[in-house]
Amino acid sequence: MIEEYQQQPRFLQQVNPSLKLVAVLIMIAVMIPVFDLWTPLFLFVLTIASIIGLGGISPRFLLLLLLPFLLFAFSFLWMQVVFPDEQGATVLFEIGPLPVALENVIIGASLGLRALVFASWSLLFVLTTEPTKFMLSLIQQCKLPPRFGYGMMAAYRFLPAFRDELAQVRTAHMIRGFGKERKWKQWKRYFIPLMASAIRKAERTAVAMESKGFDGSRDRSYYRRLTWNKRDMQFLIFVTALLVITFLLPDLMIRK
Amino acid sequence: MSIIEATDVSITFGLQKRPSLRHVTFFITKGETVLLLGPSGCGKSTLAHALQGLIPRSVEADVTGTLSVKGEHPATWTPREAIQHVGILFQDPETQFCMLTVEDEILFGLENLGLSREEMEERLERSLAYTGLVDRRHEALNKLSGGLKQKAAIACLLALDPDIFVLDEPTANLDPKSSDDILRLFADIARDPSKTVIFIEHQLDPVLPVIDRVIALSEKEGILAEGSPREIFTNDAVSLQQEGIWLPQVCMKALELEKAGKITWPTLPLSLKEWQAACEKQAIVLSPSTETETVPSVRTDAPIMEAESVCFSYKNQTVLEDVYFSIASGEFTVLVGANGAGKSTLAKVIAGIHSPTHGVLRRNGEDQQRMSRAELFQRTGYVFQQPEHQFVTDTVEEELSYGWKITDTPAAEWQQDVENKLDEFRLQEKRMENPFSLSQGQKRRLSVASMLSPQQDVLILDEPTFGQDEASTVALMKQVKQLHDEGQTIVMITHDMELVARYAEKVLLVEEGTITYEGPIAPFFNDRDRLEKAALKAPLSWELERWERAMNKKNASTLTCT
Repeated sequence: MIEEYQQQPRFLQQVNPSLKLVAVLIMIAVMIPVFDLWTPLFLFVLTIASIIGLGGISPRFLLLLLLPFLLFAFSFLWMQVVFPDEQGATVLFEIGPLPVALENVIIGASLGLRALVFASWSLLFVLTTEPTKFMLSLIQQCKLPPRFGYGMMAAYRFLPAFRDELAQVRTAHMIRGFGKERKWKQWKRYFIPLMASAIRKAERTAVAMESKGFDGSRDRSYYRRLTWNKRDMQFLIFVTALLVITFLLPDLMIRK
Repeated sequence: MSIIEATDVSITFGLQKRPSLRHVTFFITKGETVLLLGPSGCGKSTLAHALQGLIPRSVEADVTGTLSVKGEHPATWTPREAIQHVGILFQDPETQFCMLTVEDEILFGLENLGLSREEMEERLERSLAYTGLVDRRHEALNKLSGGLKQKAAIACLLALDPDIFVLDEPTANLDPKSSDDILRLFADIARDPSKTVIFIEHQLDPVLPVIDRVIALSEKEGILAEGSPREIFTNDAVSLQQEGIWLPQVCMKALELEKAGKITWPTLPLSLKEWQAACEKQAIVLSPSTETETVPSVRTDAPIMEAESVCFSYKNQTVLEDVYFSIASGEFTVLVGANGAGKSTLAKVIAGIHSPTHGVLRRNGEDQQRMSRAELFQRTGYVFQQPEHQFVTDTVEEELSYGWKITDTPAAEWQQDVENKLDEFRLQEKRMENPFSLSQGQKRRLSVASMLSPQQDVLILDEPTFGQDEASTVALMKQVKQLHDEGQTIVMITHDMELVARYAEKVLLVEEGTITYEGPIAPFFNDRDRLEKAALKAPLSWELERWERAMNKKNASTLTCT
């Protein structure tokens, strides 16, 4: 599912992955000193709209992925309301014996929305970037040594196998324990076989990579060359516009 | 002129006292196709790594003697030089790749060589076409079957265009159809006079027709025998077998029948084709009357397991649909079928790991879903494909007593049983060692031993011989056979039709989530259409036995005539 989205010929998918990564970092940095409600709310809504509009991701799928983050964001709000640092003056209503103040709701919502902005930008990156392209871009644009770039790709390949193997080990242990699940303290038992097989696989893969002539040096050619193009320029303009709108719009609204 | 010259080569790893490859001397000529034989542990794989210089370049080891390839020492090559001389195809298809798609993986090697884009494009397309992977160019490697993965690995090698190919048991873990495909590809490459191909294989029969020369390494040191396949298997059969080297099945059976006086061969047959031609010359022919000689024994014991319309879905996907079968107590049943047909899932449903979403599974007449998991697992042993997955303790001994200890049985009751298992499974010397430090074969034996418990009446094995060498396969199957003889009901998933022919009493063929054949072995192997459809093949030994029956028949008739 994710692979299909990553390969779609849409705008966000065609932007250079390194540039996209920088944009994510900028967004996170910019949001840190913001404490009002409107800025993160606008940015969040606009980000979601661009993931759907410019990335071609189905809204249902996106919502599903955002669900855990929404719960996480709501927990911020809840914490602020139930255990406030300072009780606000404007009491809106009461939940049982708890007075709920407007000031606390605003701080909580702002913190929660900030978390959602981080989440939505991370999703924007993950859903629209092919891992292979990301790795190539890191090597070609950010001068990451190929040794690490291709090593990361090899490790990435192992992840699904790792998940399957964990399921296998758990089942095996359940049968041997006659149906009893293990206590969390014994979890290390799961990891010994997983580590053993991971080390063995890593060794074999390393040898196989070298046997194909890989020496880890920068001295190699590339079939796919990632360069800066007009998409990247457009993306830069898009990000700047997004920031200007989200920071100016709330001001304008308040002045009115 | 020799392309490879090895003079008194020995290779010793790290702290080991005994060299892994011991004083080997041989020469290989350009364009030759060589089969390298040897008992397990004689250093065949080590030699393969050394020919490319991977030893000692990236795997540290002490190499003595002189090894030269194309007049140079492989150890002095850079990785980039090495691949232009020697390409290796490894055994495990999972760990040969570092990229996500077929195309990217092929390009990875070409980029390592620093080729131009045009050159890469050309080589990429050529190798995809050669291996028949053009349509799968953009497919993800981890979605491919084992056979296709090996094909992709071959495409990578072909694109790199080395002069020497070393094939380190590339078909060891493949089903019969895929391994035929792979070997056929290499037979084509072997015919190219500019390419030198070195096979390290344990399935000898399919490769023999393309082999020019066989080199057999000795278990002690040096070369045991060398020569053309016919020479070596005619003259050195006895000494090869004494060293634990397997002969091609056709040769083995031919020699066996000759010894028994059933036939005299003008020349030793190396393939079924030659066998057939020789037989026909002596007026021995296959006829339908030789097929029905063995009457399948029908088990009359009460069924221990019955499935009635069993369905199973996982994450909204139907994996099993409308499965019916009945297994008699004490029966040896095999589950066969293509990858992804649902064999493993069926085994897990039988074991009670998964519960059927519909239908009834009965165990000794009782509905399995009404039984508690604990009870079900005590009565069912389940041996996993990877032995390591099921180890739960730090020593071999504890591993065997684990089941007793968690059911709080007093030690006096089980100590003798543990001792017996240590003896039976030849693990007595290793009793205090960590299960993870054992050899491959020992791990396999321990994993079976630890799954046995006295209340148990069914033992399920999920491809227990996967990744095992011939010797440990034989040792394992001997143990399973013994359990079966003692009355244990066995259900085994396997791709190996030889094992089916030799041990099983009943076959369940799984196709697309349902059982399409349930019954004895003989009619299963005789129905070629069904086998073809399921991408299976009757094993060579089955064919050879038909011929043996034909010989018996002919000998009997000549006796009555005279």
